[in-house]
Amino acid sequence: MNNGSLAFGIFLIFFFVLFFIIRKTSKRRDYDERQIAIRGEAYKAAYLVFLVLVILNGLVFVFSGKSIADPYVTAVVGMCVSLIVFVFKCLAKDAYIGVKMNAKRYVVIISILGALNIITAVINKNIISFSGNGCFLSISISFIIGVTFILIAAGIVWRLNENDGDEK
Amino acid sequence: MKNLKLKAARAAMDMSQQVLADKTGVSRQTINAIEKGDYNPTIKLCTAICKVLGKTLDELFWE
Repeated sequence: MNNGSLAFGIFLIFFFVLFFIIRKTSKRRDYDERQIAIRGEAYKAAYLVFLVLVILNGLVFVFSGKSIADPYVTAVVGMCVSLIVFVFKCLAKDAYIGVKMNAKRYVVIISILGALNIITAVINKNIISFSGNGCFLSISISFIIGVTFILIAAGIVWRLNENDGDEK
Repeated sequence: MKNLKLKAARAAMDMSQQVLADKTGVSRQTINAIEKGDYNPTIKLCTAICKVLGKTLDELFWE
């Protein structure tokens, strides 16, 4: 097992542990009925996008004998693209934030996380390279996650500004 | 189709979308979507809105 696979495994375990802790300890279920319905549609769209990406990756491998990127990079890119699809579908239909949630606080946290990830990638100087190693591309996972978080934060800010113009 | 009855009833009570949303436990965007006709609320939300505005279901949601 190489270092990348190990890091990805640790990331996945950490992610799921954190996810279940937050889910168990959170007492607020403050999305209203319309938002829950839209979030369901968004989950479906995100899942379909992930499936399409996996199929695309498989087809590239079958026809060229090379993967687009390392398996863990491909998986992270798939997750990040699915997450972006989910968030932006929710944003487009005004289901992006719960009834009592503080959107500005989330924007600050997400932006800091994104910036930290991008800084990590820049420091390591391995943002993107066209490597051999049986793949077309090698992309820094920190960079992918950083860009994802920054896009999500930008989307929420854009939506908050849009909503300021609505009827009060 | 726009729900002008709901909008009129809310305006008659000089109530903003945000206040109605807070009293019914939903987001302001949901009230906005109902008034614009973009979302069909469940009977539970309909009754909550009726109670806050002091109207019947027929008065607000029957065409």
